[in-house]
Amino acid sequence: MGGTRLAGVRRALAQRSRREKTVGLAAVALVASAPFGGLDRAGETPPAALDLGAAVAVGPYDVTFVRAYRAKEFAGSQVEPWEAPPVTSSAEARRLLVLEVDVTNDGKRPEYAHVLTKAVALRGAAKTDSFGGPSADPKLVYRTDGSAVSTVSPGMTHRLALLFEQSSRTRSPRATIAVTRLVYVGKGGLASNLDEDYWLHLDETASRGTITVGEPGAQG
Amino acid sequence: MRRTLAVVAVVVATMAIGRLLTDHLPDEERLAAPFVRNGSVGETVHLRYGDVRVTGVRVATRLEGADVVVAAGRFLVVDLAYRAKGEPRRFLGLEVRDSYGRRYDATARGSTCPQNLEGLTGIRMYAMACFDVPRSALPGARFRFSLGDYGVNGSGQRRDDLAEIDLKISPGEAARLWSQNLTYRATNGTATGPLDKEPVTLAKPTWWDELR
Repeated sequence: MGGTRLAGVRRALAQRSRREKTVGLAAVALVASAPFGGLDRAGETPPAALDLGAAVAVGPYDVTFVRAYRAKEFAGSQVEPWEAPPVTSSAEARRLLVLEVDVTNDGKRPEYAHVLTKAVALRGAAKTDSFGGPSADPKLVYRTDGSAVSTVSPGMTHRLALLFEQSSRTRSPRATIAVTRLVYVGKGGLASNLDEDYWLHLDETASRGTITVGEPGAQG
Repeated sequence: MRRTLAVVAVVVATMAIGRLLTDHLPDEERLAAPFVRNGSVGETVHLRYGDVRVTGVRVATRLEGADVVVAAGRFLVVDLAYRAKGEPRRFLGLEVRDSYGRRYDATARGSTCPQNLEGLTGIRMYAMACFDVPRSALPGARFRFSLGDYGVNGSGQRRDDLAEIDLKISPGEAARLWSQNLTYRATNGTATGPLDKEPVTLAKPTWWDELR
């Protein structure tokens, strides 16, 4: 019985062309590799380690995380504090996690602040109301004067501060930061829209790390 | 047969002409380029929609507007006089280009300097445009003034007049300007007379220490 079946398969194979046999063989090999991960989705590049003091590429920027601390408010202008009110959290039961960063734009043009604020995330950050609805994106201000950043000039390093909001009950001496991977969309744009010449945030983590949260007065 | 050959010849000739035109006509980028009108500090540059003159160049460490802001590099302050022609205009293009081809947009930090300028028909107006620039941007810097903003790849300035004004900053002058530690009062708007160009001293109010 078994021999008759095998003979039938042999006959059927003999009638196939060489091309059909090759394709069939590849299909069988692919199915056979399934238990060993052959049909698994291609793995993403694992996130790189992120830590204080190390530079990370965030789209058009080179970003170095200098230090982090929690505070009730971020002092506005250190130059003329009587003129600039401090930045406070949006609710009494919240605190700011201030993440000081050195940001360098080595390109040929100014870049938007939101390219950075959309890319850096703090685990456990509270959402605040913003233009596009509730968001956990941080505010971005200049470290020295507390003025809001809208664009970042090229050719130099800017000392900035990312301001996240957290519950005042969060007291951990560590904070986990993740940075999204970005790709540049050039001339012609994507098939899905007509926009071009911008940085696209992918749904993928480029780097991640847990950093020490220090005291407001400590210099990093 | 002769007719078929003639048709083939016409098709081939048409394709050759098409290729010739594609190869030798200016590309879209060149066709869309703005008409750049060059000038220098003190010269009036005449444009389709108005005229503009850079009256002076200053460099500041800080600007005092509603708040005081501190430059990441230095604030390159371009004082200008301008006039709208034909109808009221809003001039959206205020940029600096450096000798490395880098572009800087006018800063709006701390409600200090304007990012665009309103022009009333035929009336000479005065304003300052401020740019946060690195030291390397000062020598050879050029100021650009236009009706449209840069947009995406210069989309707002296509096929229109644009003034490009050499700020006449030599390497020696750049070093001198950079070494100053000055604060200027910023005017976030326009005026019908020249602006105050004297540096200011930041003074702590008497109540500040008492409050603290």
